[in-house]
Amino acid sequence: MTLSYLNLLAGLLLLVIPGYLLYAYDRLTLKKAVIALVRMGTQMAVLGACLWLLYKFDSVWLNLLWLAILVVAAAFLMVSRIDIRRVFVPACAAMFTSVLAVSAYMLFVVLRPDAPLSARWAVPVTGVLMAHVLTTNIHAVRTYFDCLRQDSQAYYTLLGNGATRLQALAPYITRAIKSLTVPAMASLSVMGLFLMPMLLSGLLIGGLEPIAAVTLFVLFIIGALAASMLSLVLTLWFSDRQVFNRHGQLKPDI
Amino acid sequence: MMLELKDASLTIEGRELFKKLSFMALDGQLTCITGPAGSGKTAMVQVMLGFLPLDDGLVSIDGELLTPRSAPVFRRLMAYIPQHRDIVLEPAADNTSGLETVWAPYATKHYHPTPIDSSLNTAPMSTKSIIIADDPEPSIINPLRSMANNGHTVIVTTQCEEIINLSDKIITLGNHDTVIS
Repeated sequence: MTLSYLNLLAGLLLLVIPGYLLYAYDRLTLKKAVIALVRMGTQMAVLGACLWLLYKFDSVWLNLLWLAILVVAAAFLMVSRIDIRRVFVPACAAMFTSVLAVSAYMLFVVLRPDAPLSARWAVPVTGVLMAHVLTTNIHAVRTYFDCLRQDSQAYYTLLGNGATRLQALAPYITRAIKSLTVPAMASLSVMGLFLMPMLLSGLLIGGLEPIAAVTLFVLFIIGALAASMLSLVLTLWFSDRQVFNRHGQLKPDI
Repeated sequence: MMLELKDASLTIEGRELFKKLSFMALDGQLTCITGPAGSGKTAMVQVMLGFLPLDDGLVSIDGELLTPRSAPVFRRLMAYIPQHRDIVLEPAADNTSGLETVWAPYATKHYHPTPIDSSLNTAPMSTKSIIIADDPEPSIINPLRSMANNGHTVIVTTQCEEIINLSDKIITLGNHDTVIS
């Protein structure tokens, strides 16, 4: 399917509805909306150009480089949200490892297309997983460190009574995992009933039969959940030495 | 078991808490560490638990050095009652102290030791050789005294006269001089 300029213009014409209503009732938001739209347009243009290059060259190394760029950007965003710089490298390593591992499993074991490493398959699969990992892990990692900072007494009490480091951190890990799964489960339970997920719509527009599209969508959701959990656990594991000193104490700048 | 500090010095944020301090907490004794607020009582507990390194000197248990590597092993022999028992990680379902609400989900799954519960049941501590209580409520001093009488090494930090009077050994921190009596 190709999109002509006329089609594009017709699509953009839909902006008249929100544009007019914002102009009439909330001009302050209109300005913000215009800025957000321009920003989104620029980002999408850059993304489109990157994807065009990835599809044109269709190289495994280029796909890996693309994933690395996504990971670094995601880790940067995560660190800025949780305000702990020490987590940057562990988060990069964890997200890269988990997304790569789950993507490889999905491509080589579950989906098994003719050319699993081609840009056509590798880029969307890693992209979907990466997006889910980022959105869920920011919240979960922040929950973990917030709990540790605000309520480290439980950790020291457990440790002081003979618990191992992992046992003493178990309540905090539980909190982090809960904060990742509970919202995901809540959105999954209403999915399909009240809203048609964007990814499913994309699969249908891409030409898949409804049954195949729904199956693929469910597999993607399962893969995304697995990658998110793996990434969270690896981030916490890899960041352990950055966050605690050799005596098991939280470092003062955490 | 004997817990010993030898020539121990500690300075935190430029403030000298103690210098060249040596004492032994023996089994069968209740050792009391006292001093005004901010004199380093809780820091001393952290040192004995292996959470805080000394600037100088050493901590040993039955002659074995307490190091970052050996501390987890020694902590299995210890029961620690923290100063602040209002742990809020998991909200308490009833009016308990909160400590056991943290323990409850993990006690059976991961490990067992519970230092003390709100009903002052010291039975879970009986398997531990060294009991360290950081500023405990006066109401639990009698069970702790009994544990010392039964051969445990009991160390408490406190400012409470009632607890100090029941102690076998008193270490007074603060005012740059450490008094051992």
